[in-house]
Amino acid sequence: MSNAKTKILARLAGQSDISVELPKLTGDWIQYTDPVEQFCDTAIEISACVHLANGRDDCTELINRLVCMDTAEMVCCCAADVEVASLVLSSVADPHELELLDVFIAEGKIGVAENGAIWVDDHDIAHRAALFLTQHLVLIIKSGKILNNLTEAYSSGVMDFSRFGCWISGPSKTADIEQSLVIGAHGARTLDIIVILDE
Amino acid sequence: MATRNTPHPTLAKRFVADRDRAHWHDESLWFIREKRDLQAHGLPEWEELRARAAQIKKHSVSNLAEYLLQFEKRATALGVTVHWANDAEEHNQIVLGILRSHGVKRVVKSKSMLTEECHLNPFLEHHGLEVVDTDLGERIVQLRNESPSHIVIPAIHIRKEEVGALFSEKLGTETGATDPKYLTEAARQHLRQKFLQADAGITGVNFAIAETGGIVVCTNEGNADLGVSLPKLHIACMGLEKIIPRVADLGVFLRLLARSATGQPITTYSSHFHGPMYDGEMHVVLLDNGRVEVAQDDDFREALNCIRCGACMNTCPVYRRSGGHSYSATVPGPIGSVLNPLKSPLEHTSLPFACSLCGSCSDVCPVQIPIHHQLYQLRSELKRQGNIKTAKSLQMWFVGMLFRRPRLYRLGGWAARWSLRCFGKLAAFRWLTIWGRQRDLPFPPRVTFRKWHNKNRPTDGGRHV
Repeated sequence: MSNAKTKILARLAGQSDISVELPKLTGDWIQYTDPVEQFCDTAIEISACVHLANGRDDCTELINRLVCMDTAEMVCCCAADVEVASLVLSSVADPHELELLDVFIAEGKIGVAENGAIWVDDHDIAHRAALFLTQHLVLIIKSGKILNNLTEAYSSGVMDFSRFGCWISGPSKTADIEQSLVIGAHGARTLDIIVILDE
Repeated sequence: MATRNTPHPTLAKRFVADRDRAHWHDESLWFIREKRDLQAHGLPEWEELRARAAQIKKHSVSNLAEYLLQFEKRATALGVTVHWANDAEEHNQIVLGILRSHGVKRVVKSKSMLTEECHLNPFLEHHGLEVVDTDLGERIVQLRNESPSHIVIPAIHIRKEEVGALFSEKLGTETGATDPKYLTEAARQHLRQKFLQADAGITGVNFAIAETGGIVVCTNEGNADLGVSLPKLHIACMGLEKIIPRVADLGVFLRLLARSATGQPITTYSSHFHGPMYDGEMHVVLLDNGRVEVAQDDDFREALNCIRCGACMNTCPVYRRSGGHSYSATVPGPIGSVLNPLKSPLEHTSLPFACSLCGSCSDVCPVQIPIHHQLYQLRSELKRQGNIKTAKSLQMWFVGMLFRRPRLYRLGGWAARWSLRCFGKLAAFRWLTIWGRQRDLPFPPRVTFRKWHNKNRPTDGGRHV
């Protein structure tokens, strides 16, 4: 055991015994009459573009028509059943090769109505760098996966806490210069969200 | 031996000398405070969330050993190496050791107040490494050889014209360009190269989860993520108090953090790192540096609840009007005025007095730290330790004595009114007292309150005084 660890634990052993109970997480947390609509509204508010698709085929069509796809040269798609001419991420040896990635498409596991965030993990994404290095990001979410609030999300059992995962809400942004909001800081310049309505 | 920093009033005086800038600074922060209010009022359960968050933090801080060991065990199982450091010196040596063993030359770093606290950048640079801060605000202050003046918005004190001039000199942007969009794009291009060339990424930690052994890092720019998904080496530096028991507790904290900090429902990226990336390596450094001592202090323990949202700064009338650098501390503002004197009272004696005790900080704090009560109490502590200037102590003693003696008080009141009438502003003795320097005195009222009360008191039992 390292010296510092021993010392820190010894100091902590002298901690006075105050017992504060760990609170339960159940509660009267916000509910929406239409979580999908709320999700779309919130996402638009935080500068994402939202598109509604009727099924997978429609989704493919929508993606191919996106503005960011017009001039895109390097496109990579990690979402299943979306037919887009794409680079195969798992065949890329080093994430640095993604430097010129124009559009990256992935599928989210959960959407949250209260904050417009989508949970994406790296289960199907060989290089998580793609999510952040790409100029434009497209996230697909099924309407049935949209929950009311974050507490519901964490207790849904869908999130995998043995690997990398990230809430993504809107395109990257900064207001570090005089509080002027600028979209496109270091990560994606745009975020298109495709909501696939219940099939 | 610790030396006293330049006192807050001295530095604040310099800041307010530029009236326009001071006013602009005040307005910028109030703008963020208003955005925070909109978000807070948008959630009916806001107060309930604050209460839960405070309770979870109090619980964690009083069970630090248990949760830290659990975190270490789970993180290790995920392939993370966990390090423990007593103080800043040990922390820096650990980080340097890891970087050296990998032959690292270039490091990209996302925002971490803890590494600021440890002065990690100058330490690594001294040992020949290039360290690039990648948060836009932090990059700006780094290029200016300054420290952040705010924990969430590091360059809040700098005007776009100054950023333009700086970028023109350092990054070759057009002379005279001040458009934030253009300047941000220039920084994006400049930092992309840094991300791609980096051998290692260092991040701070917003939350460490005992239950899963994971850490959570929140940014809006995506800089933390880029910095640790291109290079294979990730070092995350955290204070012991960042630990939370359960992953589901994030459902409380992530709902509060960005709403309190910048008035967003959640940060753009809230990344949960559970183990290193494929083929990579991940280290977490746990730092004490005085935190255990605060955890054992019954009066001030709650200061460790802090999740570094900066809401107390944005709302504080003193911070807004005096600027972060007036505090001479890594964490400025109300919570900084608690944390810094707790650690080094001699250096930061003036901070608990940089406060009007208005209580706004405690009202907005998402983890319910009774900040203004703690600041008040710290003043007494500092007095007890003999760290208060004689002039201030003498005045306090004098006023205290006066208040305990009604007759003397009455006489004093009469003398004060008389001298106010005769000498006006001179009566504040501004050449003699600290108190008088920033204050104007009113013209004394024609009728004293005592006289008025005795005349107007309710006849059914109102007391004659």
